[in-house]
Amino acid sequence: MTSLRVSEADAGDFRGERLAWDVLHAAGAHEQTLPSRVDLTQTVMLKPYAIACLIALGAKADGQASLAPPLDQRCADYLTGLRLDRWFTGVQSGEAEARDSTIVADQLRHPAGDFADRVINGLARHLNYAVNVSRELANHLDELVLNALTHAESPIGCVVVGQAFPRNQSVEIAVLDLGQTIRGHLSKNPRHAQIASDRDAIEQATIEGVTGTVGRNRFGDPNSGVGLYELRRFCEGGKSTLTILSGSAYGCFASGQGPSFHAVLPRFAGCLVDVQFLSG
Amino acid sequence: MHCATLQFERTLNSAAEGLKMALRALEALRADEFVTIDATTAERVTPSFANAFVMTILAEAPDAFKSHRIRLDAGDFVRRAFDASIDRYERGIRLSTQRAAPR
Repeated sequence: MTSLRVSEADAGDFRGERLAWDVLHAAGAHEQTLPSRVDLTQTVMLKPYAIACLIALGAKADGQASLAPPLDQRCADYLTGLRLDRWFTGVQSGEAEARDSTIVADQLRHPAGDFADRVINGLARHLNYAVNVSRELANHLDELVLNALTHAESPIGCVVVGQAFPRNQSVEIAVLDLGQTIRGHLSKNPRHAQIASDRDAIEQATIEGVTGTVGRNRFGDPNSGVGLYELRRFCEGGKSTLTILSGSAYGCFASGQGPSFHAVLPRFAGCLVDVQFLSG
Repeated sequence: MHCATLQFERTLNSAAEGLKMALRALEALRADEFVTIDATTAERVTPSFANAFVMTILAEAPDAFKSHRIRLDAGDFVRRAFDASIDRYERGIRLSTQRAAPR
């Protein structure tokens, strides 16, 4: 039996070899044997993107991996509401807790018409967001999910985790796939085949009209390459932060500063988009 | 001339749906009709839907919106999304199906 033991907490800033990295690397390294047990006993805090990584790992293992829950009661209760029993053995079903949770998690293999509305409306109950802000967030979530499902060719579809933070009136949403990476997708279009790095691919993907789709996508639909561009514009024009991790790089986009790019080692075979939405 | 009305859903979020509605609107235009898009109940529209709808129409009927042969009946939020797509088209952004095959 192989076991993955994850560390105490993740700083939430995409730095350091902590929880998200541990799980991300286990899930994203396609040649690697998947752990049959994930040990969270020492874990005290998980960010939404770390949970997305965790779920991706469970999904990739077809629900056969077991999960040792955190010893920390607050953290354990928090996970119970996520109904992780959908992806792991050894965890309790927490349907009752899930109903009024500030956090939602799901896995999608096909586009679902009202999914984004359900997620955002569920989270927005805990916040004082204006209707138009919720609409905007649902639009961005729709675009992210469609991107993951139509471009990534991910064996698990995509994982979506969202959390509302009533104290600072913010929402964090992570969308994760284990697919061909942004560079892999863009290189399918001869116009972008010259992109030399994952960093450049991430930056290009946030430019208006850039897409790897030639003709129609896998669902037979046209594509226009505006989803990530609009999300970047939204984040850079307000107080929100967009982080895109794909392959061997991640890029951060926020207002008042140019994008920053950082290396990821080892390379992650997939794409993780994390958005921290702050209203106003 | 007749006036056809296309009723839009509450949530307009996929390129597939945008394309489907555009083809219906074009069919009505070809039948020498004006078309009213009734999006009064639509609460939100994604850029992907708006692009698929607007750009498919503009590729075949470039003056459809300017000449008001297609008239949009919608709230500000939806109207802005369609205007943004018209603007993108005018700036040269195209659907992947409208681009020349790359060499």
